[in-house]
Amino acid sequence: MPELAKAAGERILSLGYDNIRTKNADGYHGWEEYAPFDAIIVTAAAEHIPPPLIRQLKDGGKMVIPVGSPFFTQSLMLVEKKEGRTTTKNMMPVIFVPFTRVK
Amino acid sequence: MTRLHTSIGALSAAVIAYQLILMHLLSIVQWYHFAYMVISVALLGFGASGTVIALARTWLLDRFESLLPALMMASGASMAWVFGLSQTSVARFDSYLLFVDAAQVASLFLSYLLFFIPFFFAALAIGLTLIKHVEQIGSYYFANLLGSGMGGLVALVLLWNIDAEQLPALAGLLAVLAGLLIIPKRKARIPVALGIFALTLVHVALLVRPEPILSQYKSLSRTLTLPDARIELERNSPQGLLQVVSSSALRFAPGMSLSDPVDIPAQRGVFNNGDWVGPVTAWMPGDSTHILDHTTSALPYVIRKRRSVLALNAGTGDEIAHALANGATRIVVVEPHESLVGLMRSELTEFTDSLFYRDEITVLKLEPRAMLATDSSSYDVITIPAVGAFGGTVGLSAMQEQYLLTTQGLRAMWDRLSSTGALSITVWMDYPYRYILKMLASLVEVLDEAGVKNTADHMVAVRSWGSVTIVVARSAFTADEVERIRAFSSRSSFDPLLLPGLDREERAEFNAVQDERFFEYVDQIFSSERDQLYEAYDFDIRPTTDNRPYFSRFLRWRHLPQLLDQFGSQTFPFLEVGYLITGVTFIQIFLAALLLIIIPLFRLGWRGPGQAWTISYFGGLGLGYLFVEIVLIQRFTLYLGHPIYATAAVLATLFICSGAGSLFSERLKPERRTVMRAAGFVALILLPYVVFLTPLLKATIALPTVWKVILSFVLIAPPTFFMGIPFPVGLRFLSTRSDAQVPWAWGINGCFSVISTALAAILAVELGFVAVMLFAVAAYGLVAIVSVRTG
Repeated sequence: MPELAKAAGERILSLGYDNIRTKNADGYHGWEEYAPFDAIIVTAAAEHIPPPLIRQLKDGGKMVIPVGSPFFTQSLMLVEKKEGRTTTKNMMPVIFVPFTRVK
Repeated sequence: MTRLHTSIGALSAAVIAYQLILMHLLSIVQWYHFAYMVISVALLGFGASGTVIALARTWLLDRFESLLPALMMASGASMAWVFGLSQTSVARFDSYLLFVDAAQVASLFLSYLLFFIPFFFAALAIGLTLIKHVEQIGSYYFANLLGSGMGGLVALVLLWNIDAEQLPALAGLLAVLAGLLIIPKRKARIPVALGIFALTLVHVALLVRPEPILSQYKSLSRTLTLPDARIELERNSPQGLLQVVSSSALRFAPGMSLSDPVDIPAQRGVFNNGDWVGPVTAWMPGDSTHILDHTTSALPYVIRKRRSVLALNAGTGDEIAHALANGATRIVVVEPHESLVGLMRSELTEFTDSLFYRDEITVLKLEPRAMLATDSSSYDVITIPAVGAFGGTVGLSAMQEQYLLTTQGLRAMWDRLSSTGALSITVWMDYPYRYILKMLASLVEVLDEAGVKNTADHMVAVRSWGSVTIVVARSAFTADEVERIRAFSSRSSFDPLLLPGLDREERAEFNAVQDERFFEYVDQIFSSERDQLYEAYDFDIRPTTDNRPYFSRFLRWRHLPQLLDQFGSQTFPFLEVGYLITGVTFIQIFLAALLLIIIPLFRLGWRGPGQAWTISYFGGLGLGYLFVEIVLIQRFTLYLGHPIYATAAVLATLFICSGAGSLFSERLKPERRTVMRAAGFVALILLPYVVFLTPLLKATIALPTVWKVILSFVLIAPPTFFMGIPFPVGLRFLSTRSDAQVPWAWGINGCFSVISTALAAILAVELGFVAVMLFAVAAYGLVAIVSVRTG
């Protein structure tokens, strides 16, 4: 939602944070320009863990992402990358809104 | 034959066509378990009309000539509109919200009442005709039943050729035309005006095409919210409404490996009745890998080369492309959905590089169980679609018969494997663990039954963060194969779950589970303590059989309180919503039957002797008749391949044969002995069906469709002919003893018929079809016994 992204960006700036970047785009593709990341937090459910996000996770980094059918119970997954190995841990059942919902 | 005969026939055809169309539309907007509700609502209409006739018989008969066309037109006009009205915000309900929003329960009830209207008007018209022309009742009854039988055929023709939105209006048009046919010559002004009004309403409905609004929880609903998502193609058939959706953000690869992820191209998705069928994946010859090679589904091909593949319920052909990419040279594709195969071979060909036309492939448009029963070839690998739902906990299929997943279904697959062949089954991981445990238990029991020693040597499984693929092989896995599986798991960040010589630590190296007891449960299934696990586990994970083919039903009523405690009353329904809805339907429909059939009868009062007999005789008949009807529909669903076909075939035969039985009953004297014998004879004739129906259907499932339809008639006709006798004979017997009780007999029979539909569904899930049939035999037997002592 462009309006929400714009409002959030402005609010962050007005609060005095200058080390936060915002972008209005499909989160599936992550943000290659600033990768790799120590942490990635996804707050919308996807049916698979997006490969671009796995690639953009730094070695030693952690990602939290809900995966499963949108609207139904999903699993909150902790994805970790250590020495080139990617591991997951199923944390708990959750319900999030679907991942890409740009009308 | 008079115009009135034709009119009654046409109206009856419209009623049955409308009933089947309503089942189809409810399957689109909600789910198919509402089929039971539609049968109940239709019976409610007939029951309530009986009560109204009992209360206002003279008034109605005095106005018969002008009232009859009006009733038919009202039925037709309401058929055209009630489904549309049920889709408005006031009446629309959503299965998933029934347990969190009380207003949804009221909406569901309002939907019943809306669907009830056309059945009520039609039943009133038919009932009044039979009473008015009592001297020719035989011929009118025959017109009614012949029309009903034809209605099934009308519905099937319409479903193949017409858009879903226009179907109710076309059934309505038939009912309005039935009314127009009998407009009286005198005092025709009002009926003609009504006719024009009804035709206008039908015409407007045809133009407006009230659209089915899908539950927001259907896969299609959420897919349509993706960027630039649109429905590209639609095709309607009795097997469902197929829709092809495209979107630049539709990328389907659940359970994909995290260590060698590939970018997934935008795909087209196919949906049937709003439920996900599969992706239309472009796979070009020469592609060395397929998306499924990056999931656990790659396991059978990692173990060894597989030349001949049997892909059951192959849907959009994902498994076919996967097999081709892995060097398969002979692929037999079994897909019962004829329109889907048609789509894959026509409009979707360009997106799949003519996958369904490749030389390696043979496509069979058959039910997988029917195919397995006839086939004598052997295969290197047999695949079925992933079991359960991605993300788990959908719980909607609880009331759906899944004959491929019963022990008999799995055994039929096992028997078709070559000496090195394997069965490959992927199960989505869910929490609480249900699907995976039930599948493992089923496979272990099938192997035990097949005489396989050391089951664990024939079964391997690999787990990703979202799925488990189990491969069950004819021959024990070799050390080389075990090593290949280990290497594949490690390379793909998967964990072996079952593997000869597996260390405990290896099981969760990459993907930790939420509850470590999962591994204990898996081990227990392979041990002698399997039965203890079945007994102690919170969910029902016992293997299913053809007698109770409800693989996705896990609820154990005994454990309900602690599950509600654990998951909360708002979350729990999401685990078992399909089954719980049947319970809610049962309660609501029971209340509606009391309200619309029984309570109004108290205005007449209840006088006369033998009231207990009246209740048990006519109640027992309602129960027995409907139990048999529901069992037949369910048994023939596997036999004929689809619920809509089974319902059409069973209802048509049932109406025609029971009608013939009723006509025959006029020759019998209405005395105690006849009444007792009529019911007792039904119990006796049904008894062999309890034992022999299933084996007989199993033995003949492979016959060509024409023969199966003929055999269905031959099997259904005898008991249903005799089932048509006890009710009319009982009524005549009652009227000689206590005429005032006749309306009560109608009402009680109607009420029991209404509730029996949902009750039979619940009993089938809990105890199996054989038990439901036994209850039917017991009901008729009881009716006969109580009749020994009466009079």
